[in-house]
Amino acid sequence: MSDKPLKVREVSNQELQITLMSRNELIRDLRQKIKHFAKQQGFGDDDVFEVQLALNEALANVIEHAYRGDQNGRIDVKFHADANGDLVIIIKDYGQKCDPTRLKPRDLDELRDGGLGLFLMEKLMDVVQFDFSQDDGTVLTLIKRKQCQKEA
Amino acid sequence: MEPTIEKQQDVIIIKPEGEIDTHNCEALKQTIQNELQKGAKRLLIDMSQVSYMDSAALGVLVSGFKNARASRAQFKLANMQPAVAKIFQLTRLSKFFDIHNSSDEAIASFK
Repeated sequence: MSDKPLKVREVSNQELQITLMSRNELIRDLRQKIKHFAKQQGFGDDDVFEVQLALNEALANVIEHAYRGDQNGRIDVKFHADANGDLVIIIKDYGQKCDPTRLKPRDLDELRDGGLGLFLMEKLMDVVQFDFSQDDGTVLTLIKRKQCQKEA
Repeated sequence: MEPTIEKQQDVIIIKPEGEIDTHNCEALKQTIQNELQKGAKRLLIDMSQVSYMDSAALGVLVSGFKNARASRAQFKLANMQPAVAKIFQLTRLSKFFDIHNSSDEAIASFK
C-alpha cells in the first residue's frame, strides 16, 4: 500500500472505506471513526461503545495473528449501514490465515491474561463471521443490529 | 501517558489515565511491575480517569493481579467508570478482582 498509514474514503453517508497499515497505534483512530459513523446512523451510546470495542479487538487480532507484528500489512475496513439500518463492519486482511478449528472463545472460569478478543466480539456483536475462502487473507464481518435487544 | 503514583498510609495508588489499549498498555504493566519489585504489599489501581479499555489492557490488570498474588501483595481496583465496569462484567473478571466504589473504601479494606 502507499506510504500513508491510514486512508479514508467516504463513499456516502452510509458507507466509509478505510485502508490502514497493521499498526496498533491506528486502532484508536478507527475507534473514533466508528464512533462518529455509528452515532451518525442513530446508534445509542451503549451500542456505540460495544461496536468500538468489537472493532478494536478485531483489528488487534489481525495485527497480532495475521501479520504477526509486521507493521506494513494492509487492512481494508468498510463501515456500512444496510437497508435495515444495521451497522455492518467488514475487515479484510492479506496476512496469514488462522486455523479455524482453533478459533473458539476461551473458558472464562480461568484467570488468564489473554484470549478475550473473540469472546468480546461475539458477546458485543449480533453477527461475527469469518471467511477463510479467500485466496489471500481473511474477511471478517461484524454486524450490530439496529433494533436487536440482545440477551445479557 | 505514564500512570501517576501516590502513597497513602502504606498503600501504593497507581492512577492510569485516558484510553488504555494494546498500543499503550505497556506503561501500566511496567508501573505495576516496578512497584511490586520495589516491595509494595498493598496496591490500589484507581480507575477513575480511565475512559476505555480493551482486552489487552484487561490482560495487564490480570497479570498485575497474578504477579501481586505471587509476591503476597494485595491488589485492588476502585472507581471504575461504567463502560470499563461493563467490560469486567462481560468477561466475568469482576469475580476475580477486589473492586471498590471509591479509593477511600478500597484503602480502608486493606488488611
